[in-house]
Amino acid sequence: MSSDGKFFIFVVIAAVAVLGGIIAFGGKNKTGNLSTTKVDTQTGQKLGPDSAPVKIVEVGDFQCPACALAATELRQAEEKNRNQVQVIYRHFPLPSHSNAVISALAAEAAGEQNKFWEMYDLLYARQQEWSSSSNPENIFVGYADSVGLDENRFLNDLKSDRLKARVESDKAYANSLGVNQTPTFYINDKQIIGVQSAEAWQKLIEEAKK
Amino acid sequence: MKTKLALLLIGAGLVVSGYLVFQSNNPEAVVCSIGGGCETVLTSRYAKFLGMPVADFGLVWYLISLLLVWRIWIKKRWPVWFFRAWTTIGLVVSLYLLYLEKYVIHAYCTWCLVSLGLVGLLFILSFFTTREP
Repeated sequence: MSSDGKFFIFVVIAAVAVLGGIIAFGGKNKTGNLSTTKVDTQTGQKLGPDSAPVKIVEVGDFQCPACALAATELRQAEEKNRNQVQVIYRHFPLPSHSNAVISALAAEAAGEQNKFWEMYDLLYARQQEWSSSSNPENIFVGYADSVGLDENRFLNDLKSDRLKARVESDKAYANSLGVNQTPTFYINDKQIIGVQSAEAWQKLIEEAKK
Repeated sequence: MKTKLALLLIGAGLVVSGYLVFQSNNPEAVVCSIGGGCETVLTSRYAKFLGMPVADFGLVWYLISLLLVWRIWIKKRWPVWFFRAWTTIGLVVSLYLLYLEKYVIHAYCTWCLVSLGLVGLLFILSFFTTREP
C-alpha cells in the first residue's frame, strides 16, 4: 500500500477514536460522580415548602434552550414530589444571550406580584417567541397580562434597579460557586450539570431523601 | 503532501461534524456555556433541513470528501474537478449557514465556524492541486 493509502487509514481510525473519546468523556461529565458544594438555599425564588427535605437549586438563564428543556422535566418531577421538594431559582444570564437579563428581570418583576413561577413557565415554554426579538419587553407585557399581573407595576419593576441588583447578585453568587454553564443544579448540595429527564430527577430525589 | 494535508483537514472535519451530530441528536447533552452559542444554533429551527439535523449533512459531506480523496488521489480513478465541485458546494452551503448565524439566529456556534474554516481550506487546496499531487 502507498504511504498516502496508509495515511488514509490512519486518519479514518484516528478520527473515529477521537470522536469516540469526546462522546464518551462528554457523557461521563454529565452523569459521573457528583461534586458537592455547600449551597445557599435561603436566597432566591422558591417553589415548595421550606420544610421540604430535598432542596434543588437551579442556576439558569431563561434564554438558554437547554434550560427550557430542563425546566419541563424538573417541573414534572417537582409536581410528582410536592411537599418533598423545594426548587430555588438563581439567575445566571449568559453574556452570549442578548435577552437573558431582561427575561430574568421579567421573572423577578412577576415575582414582585407573587407570580414568579407562572412567568418562569411562560418564559421557558415560549422561549423561541422572544429570544431573538429586538424588543422583548412588549412580549413580556403580554405574558404579564396573561398571568393577571398589574401591567403598570410590572413595567416599573422591569426597570427597577433593585431587581437588577438582585439578578446581578445571583450571577455573582453563581460565579462564586464556579458555575460556567447552564442549567446547573444542586440537589442537597450535589452539583448536576445539564438536562435531566423526569425519571432521572425521580431517582436523584429518592437518593437525596435517604 | 497535499493529499496528506487534505486527509488531515477531512479527519478534523469528521471529528467536528461528528461532535455536532452527537449534540444535535442528544438535546440533553446540550448546555449553554459562557461565550458559547452552539446551543442556540443547534436548537434553532434552522438546525434542521428536510427533517434531518444540518450537522448530519455535514458529516455526510466529510465522508464523501474522504471517498473523493481516495478515488482521485490515492486510486487515481476520478478526475480532480469532482473534488473542486464538491468543495465549492461545501463552501457555498457553509457560507449560507454563516449568514443565518449572523443575521437570522444572532448567535455563532464555534464548532460550525471551525467547520467553515476546514471547508474553506479544502476548497483552496482543491484548486491548488492536480490529479498527480
